[in-house]
Amino acid sequence: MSMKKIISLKNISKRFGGVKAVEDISLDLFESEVCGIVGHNGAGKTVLMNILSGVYNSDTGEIYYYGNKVNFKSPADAKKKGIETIHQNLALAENLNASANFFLGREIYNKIYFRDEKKMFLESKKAINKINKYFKDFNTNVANLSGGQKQSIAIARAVYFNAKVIIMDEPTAALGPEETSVVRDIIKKLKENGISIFLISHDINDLFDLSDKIAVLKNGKLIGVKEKLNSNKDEILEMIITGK
Amino acid sequence: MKFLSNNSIWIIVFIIFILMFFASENFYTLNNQLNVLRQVSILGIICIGIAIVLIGGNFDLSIGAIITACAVTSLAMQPSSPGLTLLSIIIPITVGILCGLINGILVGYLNLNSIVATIGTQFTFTGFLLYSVSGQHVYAFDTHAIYFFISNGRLFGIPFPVYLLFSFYILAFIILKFSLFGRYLEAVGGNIRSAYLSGINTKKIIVYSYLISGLMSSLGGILIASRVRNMDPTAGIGYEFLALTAVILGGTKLTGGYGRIFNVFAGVLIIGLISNSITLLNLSYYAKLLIQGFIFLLVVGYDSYLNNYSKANV
Repeated sequence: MSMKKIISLKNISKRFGGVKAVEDISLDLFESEVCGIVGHNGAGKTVLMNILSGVYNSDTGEIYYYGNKVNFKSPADAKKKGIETIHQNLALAENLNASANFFLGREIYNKIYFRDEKKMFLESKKAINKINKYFKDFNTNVANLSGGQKQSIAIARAVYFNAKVIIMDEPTAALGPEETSVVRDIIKKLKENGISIFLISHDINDLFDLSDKIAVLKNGKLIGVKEKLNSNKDEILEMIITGK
Repeated sequence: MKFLSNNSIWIIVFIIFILMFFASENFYTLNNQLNVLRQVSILGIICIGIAIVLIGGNFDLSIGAIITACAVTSLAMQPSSPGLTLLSIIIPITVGILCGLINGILVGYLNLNSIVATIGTQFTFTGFLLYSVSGQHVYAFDTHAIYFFISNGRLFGIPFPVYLLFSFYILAFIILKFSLFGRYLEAVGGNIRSAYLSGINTKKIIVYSYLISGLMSSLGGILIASRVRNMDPTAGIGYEFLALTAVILGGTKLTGGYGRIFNVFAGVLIIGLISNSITLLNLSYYAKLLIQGFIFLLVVGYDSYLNNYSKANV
């Protein structure tokens, strides 16, 4: 059975002044697929994903979502289509608590546009505890939470709003071994539930464990995309280093 | 305990009351207390706008110029009939909102540093105003009773501006505490990038905050115009300093993202009480400037200390 194509990036390029951050990259993502993205620092991984999530506009190229051409002018546009991003810095407002961050930009409100704090608290508590049952500090400002707790909010938020595609930028970079293992399980569960994932990681073991295919980037160019079953870690490492 | 630490500014208000009990017998008269409230009503209304901009992570140093521009515009219309009185309120409010819009576009859409941008607009607005009135004072000899009442009238013995003051503080409290705008403002002030990545239209929120500041400054300008009916086109310069002192004194963070509107009111009260105490104690204008400057440095230093302390503890 052939899988449905969810995202199709076609010939995407982006320059910052004289620097070619992303150069003519085309990449597809299918239903329930995890596509790992790997490369050295400055390879263009985050910029490419930021274009898909509406943070940047590409200079050239097109994005297709379920076969339709889309143009995301802001992160809000991408979120409306069901593309959620868990940014490396987690994109949380540190001066607000978990519940406020969970619903930030998509608050539950009443007829006169007042926030329904009670409902938001209960909903966010349920959703975050699904991801991390030990999470209790709902009234604490995010600045005072651990990396794992912040990650729990970011992931729970992406899942709660019925994401079709989740972009994860180094989701385990700030976590300890136990929390990393929780995030790995979450990624596997999301995939089982039909959610497609772009996973940026420096950890080749993570990528091989979690991804169906791996895209290797170097200096803004796509070196190649390898199906996990037809490749091995040495081949991927060689592509990262040599750019061939 | 948390409630006390969040509202400790009111303890300072209380201490000033106790100290003045021993220092001056006139301080506790009802007339003097109402006088303090009437005097702080203009500053208080202006501070709402400054506080909202500051919670959003920006500064508005152009309010002095906006206040004067609106006061002069209002007086220049010689509000001597009910129709003209209405226009002499509506047009200055429009001017204030327009000035706020310019600030908002410069900071929100063109990404100019808010301090630099609003110092620039302060000079531009003042220059434009001076040019318009050829640098002359503007008078209104014959104002309508309604216009006079706005700033000088009393309702049930209480000065009318005090009603305006409390109404606007309650309204600002409701907006900041319960509305979507209040939450977005905090998020933008706390971390503008996170707010943007969360899908908030950060540019719009910044523009709205400056629109509110322009509106509040225009109301302050109209109240001043109604009170004095004689305006020097540079009279508002320095208001931003006083307003910022009150707002920071009220615990609004200089770095943005946090502020409690009723504590801002406490900051305004402290400024008013100190000013009143200086008058009652027969201290000079120079002493007033010295004390205000010292308080400003003290609260900015304390804010900076708290900021560094919280960073070190995260």
